[in-house]
Parts: sequence; C-alpha cells; structure tokens
Amino acid sequence: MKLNKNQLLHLFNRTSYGIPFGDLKTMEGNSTGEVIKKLIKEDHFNAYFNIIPTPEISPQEIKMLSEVEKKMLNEMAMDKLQKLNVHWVKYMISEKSFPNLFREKMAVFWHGHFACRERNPYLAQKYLNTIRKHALGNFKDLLFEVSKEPAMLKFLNNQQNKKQSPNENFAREVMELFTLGRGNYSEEDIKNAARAFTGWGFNKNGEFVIRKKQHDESQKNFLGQKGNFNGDDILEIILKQKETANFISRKVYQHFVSEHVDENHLKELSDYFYESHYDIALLMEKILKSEWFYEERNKGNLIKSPIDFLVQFMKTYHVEFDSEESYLILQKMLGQTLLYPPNVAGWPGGKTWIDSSTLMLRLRIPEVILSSGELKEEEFKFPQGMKPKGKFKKLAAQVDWDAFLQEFEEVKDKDLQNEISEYLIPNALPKGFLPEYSGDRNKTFKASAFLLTQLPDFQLC
Amino acid sequence: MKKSRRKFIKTSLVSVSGTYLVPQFINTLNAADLSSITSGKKLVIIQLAGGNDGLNTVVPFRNDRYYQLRPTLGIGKTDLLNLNDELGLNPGLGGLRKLYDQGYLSIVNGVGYPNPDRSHFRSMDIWHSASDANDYLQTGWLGRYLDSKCTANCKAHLAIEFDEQLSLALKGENIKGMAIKDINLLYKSTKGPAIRKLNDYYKKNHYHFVNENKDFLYKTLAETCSSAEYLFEHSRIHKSKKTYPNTQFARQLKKISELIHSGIETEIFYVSLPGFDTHVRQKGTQEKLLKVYGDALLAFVEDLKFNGNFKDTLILTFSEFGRRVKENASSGTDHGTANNVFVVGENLKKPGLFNSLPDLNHLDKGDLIFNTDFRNIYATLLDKWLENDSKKILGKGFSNLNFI
Repeated sequence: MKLNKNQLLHLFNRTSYGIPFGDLKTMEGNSTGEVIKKLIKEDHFNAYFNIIPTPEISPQEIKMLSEVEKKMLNEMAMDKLQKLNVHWVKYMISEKSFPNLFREKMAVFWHGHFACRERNPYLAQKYLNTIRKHALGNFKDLLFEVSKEPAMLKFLNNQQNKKQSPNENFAREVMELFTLGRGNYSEEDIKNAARAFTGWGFNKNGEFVIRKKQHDESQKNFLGQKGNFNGDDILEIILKQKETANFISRKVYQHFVSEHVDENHLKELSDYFYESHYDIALLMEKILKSEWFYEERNKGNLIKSPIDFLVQFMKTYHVEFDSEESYLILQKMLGQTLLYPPNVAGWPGGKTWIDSSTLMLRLRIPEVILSSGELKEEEFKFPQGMKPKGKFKKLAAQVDWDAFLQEFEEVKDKDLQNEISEYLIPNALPKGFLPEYSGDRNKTFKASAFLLTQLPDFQLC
Repeated sequence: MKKSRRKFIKTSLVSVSGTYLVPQFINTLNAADLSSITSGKKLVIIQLAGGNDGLNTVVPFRNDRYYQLRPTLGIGKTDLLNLNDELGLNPGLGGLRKLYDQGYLSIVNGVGYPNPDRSHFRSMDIWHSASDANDYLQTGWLGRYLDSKCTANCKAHLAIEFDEQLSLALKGENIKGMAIKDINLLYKSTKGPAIRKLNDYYKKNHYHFVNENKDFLYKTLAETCSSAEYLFEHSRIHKSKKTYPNTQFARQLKKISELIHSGIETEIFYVSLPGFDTHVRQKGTQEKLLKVYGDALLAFVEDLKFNGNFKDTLILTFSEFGRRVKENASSGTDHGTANNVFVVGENLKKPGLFNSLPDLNHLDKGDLIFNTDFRNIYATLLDKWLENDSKKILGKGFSNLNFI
C-alpha cells in the first residue's frame, strides 16, 4: 500500500508526535513497508536516562537523620524527580529520530499501563528505563522486569507480602490491570498468586531480591493449575492465557487506533500477538500495515493526551520554554504529569482529558505562547507539592518561526494556507476560517498557524 | 428585590440564547430546561485537603489515652472550646463553635471506609469516586449525580469548583462540572478572536459531527462559553455587604453566597482548603488553618441566613483521612484513617454530636477504626437533600443516616 500525505500524517501523528513537513514531502508515495522500516528499527537499546546516577540514601540511614536533614532530603528527592520528568519531556520534544520517538510514545503508553508513582528518584528512573527499554520489545520481558522493579513492588505493597501475612495488592493489580483484565480470574486465584509472590522485594541498592524466609513454599491453585508456584511461574501461566493477549491488544487498539474497537480486527491482532509470543513491535507493525488503520473513521478521532498535545505542539511550532518549571506546570494543569499517574490504573484518557477548564487552557496555551504573550502567575498557581524553589514569574517561551517557515519554503504562496491547515488539522476546515492571503507570506503563515491552534480540531489526532 | 431578580434572569436568558459561538442545538435547549431542572437546594462541599487531624479537631479531653499517645500535641482542657463534659473543639474553631451553639452543626465521628488507604491521592480518589478501596472508578459521586439528572442536555455550571483543576468528584460520564479560578477571567477567555470567528461560521451552519470526539469538543466549548456568560452575569447581580475574614477561602465562600443569592441554577459548590498534611509541628499550623475554616464558615452562614438562603443550603466538610493517633517524633502526625465530618445546615435532625468518637483503646495497628462509612453520608445527601436515588449513583445501597 502506497501512502499519501494524509495517510502519512495520520501514521506519524499516532506514532511519533507528528512529522516535520519536509519529511512528509519526501516520504509521499512510499509504501507502508518502506515507511515502517524508518519507524521501527531493531536497535540495541542504550538510551538509558542517567541523571540520577546513584541510589538514594537507604531507609536505615534515613532513620539516623535529623528532622531538618530529612526535610532537606525530601526536597532534594522531589527536585530530582521533577528533573527526571522534565528531562523525559524535553527529550521527546527535541528528539528527531522516528524510531526513538516511537519508542518513547510507546513508553508513555506503558507508563500509563504499568502506572507507578515513586518518590525515590533513583528507583523512578530505574523503572522508567525499564519501560523505555522494552517499549517496543517483548511484552513478556516488559512484564517480568516491571514486576520486579523496586518502584512497582513498593507501590503495590509487595514488601509487605509475607508468608505469615500475605498482601494481595500486587497480585490483584498484576492480573486486573497489567495482564488478564477483570473477569478472567477469581478471588481465589488472587489469594494463591499473592502467596506465590511472597518474598519478592528489593535491597537497599535498589536490586530485586527474593527473601526465601518470607516465601510461602506450599502448594498453590492458580487458574486451574496446581503446583508449588513462585512469582515467575504465576507470570508464565498468566501469559499462557489468551485473555492476556486480548486484553493488551485491546488497550493498544483503543490507544492507537480508535476507542471503538472493531472486534474482528481485534481478534486478528490478538491471535497474532499471542502467536508471536508477545512481540510488541510486530503487533504495532501489523496495525500500521493494515488497511483499516487508514480508514476515514479512524483518522483524527482521538483526543490528544496532554503529553501528546504539549510535545507535538512544541515540536511542530519549534517552541522552547525559558524555565524548566513551565514543562511541569503545564502537565499538571492539563491533567497528566509523567511519573505522577493518578493511581495504579493510570490515566483514563479519551474524553476524561477534557473539561471546561482544560479545554480553555488547551486553547489558551498556544495563543499565549505564539502571540508572545505571557500567562500571569495568578492564573498559573503551582499545584501543591510541586512548587519549585525560587520565584516563578511567567510562562515565557521562544518560538523559532524561521525554522517553521523554512519547512514550507517550497510551497507556493497560493497553496500556503491549504498546506498548513492540512498539515495541522486532521479534519476539513470550516470554510472561510482562515483569512485571505494578505500578500505578506510570513504574516499569512503566522496568522494561519496561530488561528488553527484555536480550533477544537487541533486537540484531535 | 425579588422582582428585579426575576426580571434579570429573563433578560439574561435572551442574551444566553444570543451567545456567540453557541451552536443551534444548544440554543434551543437553553430556554427549555432552565427552570425545570433545579431543585432549589444547594450543596456546598468543603474539602480539608492533606488529611486533617480529626482527633485534635474534636478532642476527647477526658480520655487519658489521648494524652498518653500525644504527649506534646495533646491539647489541654482549658485551651479547648468545650462542647460537653468530654469533648472540646480545637481553639481555632471559635466560628464553628458558634454554629454548634445555634444548633447548625452536626458532627459525625469515625467516618471512613473498609481497608483504608493512607495515600493522599488514592484516599482522595476513594472519597471522590465513592468506590471501594480496591476499586478504580473514573467518575465522581457528584458527577454521576449530574449524569442522572441531565439525560439529554445539561450544563456544566450545575456544579462548580473554585480551583484551576476539576476534582474527580465532579466528573460524570456525560457531564462534568466546571473548575473556575476566576469567573471574569474565564469569561474573557471565551471572547477571544478565534472563538468569535468559529461563531460566525457555526451561526450560519447547523452542525453535528460524525466524529464523536470532535462533536464532544465542540459541544464542550459551546457549553463552556454559554456557562461562562451565565456565571459572569450572575456574579454581577448581588454584592454581599457582609464582612468576611480576609482569606482566599473566605472570599470563595463569599462568592458562593453571592451566586446563591443571584438565583443561580448551580446546585453544587466545591471548595478546598489545603495544607492539613501536618507531619511536622502540627499544633500551630492546624490551629491557624482551622481558624481560617471556622471563621469563614461562620461569616458564610450568617450571610446566607441574612439573605434567607440558609434553609436551602447544606454544607459538608470532609478530609481524605484522619491522622495516626500516636504523634510522631517531629511534633506532628502521620497519615491515618477514620475522621470526623461536619454537616452544617439550618434544619438538622440531630444537631450537636451525631455519634460518639471511635474508641482510643481499641485501635487497628495504631489507627482509629471507622464506625460510619462515608457513603452512608453521601447516600443521605443524595436521597434526602438532592432527592435523587443514591443506590443508582453509588452502585449499591447505603442506608441513610438521620442527620437531615
């Protein structure tokens, strides 16, 4: 299948926060196979974030500290965590390589799937690197490694899951939210799985350990099987269930294709995913190569998440904020702060992103930035617990209009508005929405690029 | 007074239907359902965010166990505002005490839920969504109330929250309340040039989009513009003459009182007072915050009463959890479980102490054991005050309590 401009835009909007206009022109007419080769590369992952190089101080050592020292330590930790967040967001904004962007986009998806909040920045970074590493790898590796991440074990209370007093939280969420989905296991299965996970924990260096003394060695009954299962066995059994492939494929479909699942397409995907032994890249390739992915009903029908909105806007318009705090504040106000998911179920997404205030904010952010205005502090009060040191004055940003304009260099004056609106808005434009060509190319371009952000359609992808 | 108010509403109706941008289908419905939908009853929810220490809010000063577990934080009998022979209010709560004396306050003790969660976020979620501790709901209890009321078309401003972000509590499946920091600013932001341009277009064209999310976005925008205009106009009708304390919290309550008196159709008002996460040096911090709360609340009630609106207004105060019974090593308290809830209204069935405090000698790993599920309180409000069906909204039946 040969891809036209519109189809290419759709593909890259969904997978890599858009595509520069120039690349769009070059790839026009390429086949899906050729394009996907540029999007998915089997590279050895080495893009680990390493902005927090050493484990934080251990709980034992923390006990020795004075209250003042503890408070300082907390503040430093929060600072580092915020740095990590901003580092990730800025990485996605500045990164140019499609395979890397696709991986990060998948990583944000998995971050919502394996949602986890961790205050210790070293452990948060470790968790984040794990989901990034396997984002387009194998779901089995991803599941096994995330389940053994100290951040996750801590978040789901598995440090308290002991032979004498099992804590079911971890086992429950692994099945309900990470793999099988509701209705595909019983409360008894949870109890038995929890016993199999007893002893899973981590040491002060942030390494996974199995505490033998706390592990329940007795027999378990799990999903119809009997045995002296440990945690690994439970995960293996879960992956043998077709329901797991179905549950994950469905979630991927809803996130990347449409909220309305075509059950025939899903069945096809889910079987393929299962037979490929949970190869995520193959699953994505199958979707992106299918004809139905490019059907009109599947285009421009998803509401951008705050991260999609922010990253894609800043990439496309060549925007950079003056202060790091700006990245954090906007995430928080728009309702999605990376590393701070609302709970273990992640961000519900879709229509839940939008209410009166977030919609007005989404319309206002580009307006303020592009008209080189400033959002006043009283409108942008800091959320509790996220107030940075120093005084935050304003949300100031730089827009590199020249770079943006240059991408359109070869477009003729008379086609300029048409090209830019097709590039920025997935759906047909209200007639007469853009002003007549004024005779001044730069002015027309800027006015159009600005006005288009004000359309609710700009929130779709 | 009354006449001019009615007249205003009539004229504002005309201007609402002439609103910029608002597409046709919204316009036609605006006039139709405006009067029929409100019950006249107002519910104000105050959230003491961060986890207020209920045990130092309503203090059992006869209980030795209290002073044993709180050697530095325990408040002495002489400092308390005594309610009876056993209990006293935190010295910061002079305002609340006055409401108590007039029979306008009902204190429900030991409110919580099974398997309490000690994370702020999670526990707040549970209170907002009214879910079980191991359940994750994406809608809030008041959001579902809005859903149930508004089958075809409903307005976001039926529930408003004074904040920049909308709480889960006010998010329904089909309709969400509005988070507003400043009504004037919101109104101004709906008057931008591009939005006007859209209006010109849609005035000429009826629209309905096949693309569901696109339809949803345009509809939300139209509703926001229409609600912003509605709120803006109502916010200018009545200016309260009552003197309120000079705090942001009090200003928010004042605004609510003004809006209520303007004859607004908003039913639910949601405000939050943050800062109760007192792990360190709790005494001064909490007392100050409770004073902000109590003094503002007293002014609010007096204002409502003066204008004849108190009988139709009920005020509920809660916090996502109470705190541990035993104080920590930093003269503070850590996250706990059950807590007290305050109900303020003119015609309470059982003013004063609704029930007794949880037993301090019988704790669950150092935490209070709840005796009242918060959803019994919600159910009571939904059934008796908002005259709805709590079973539908909460997903299962919770018996009503006899406080209203």
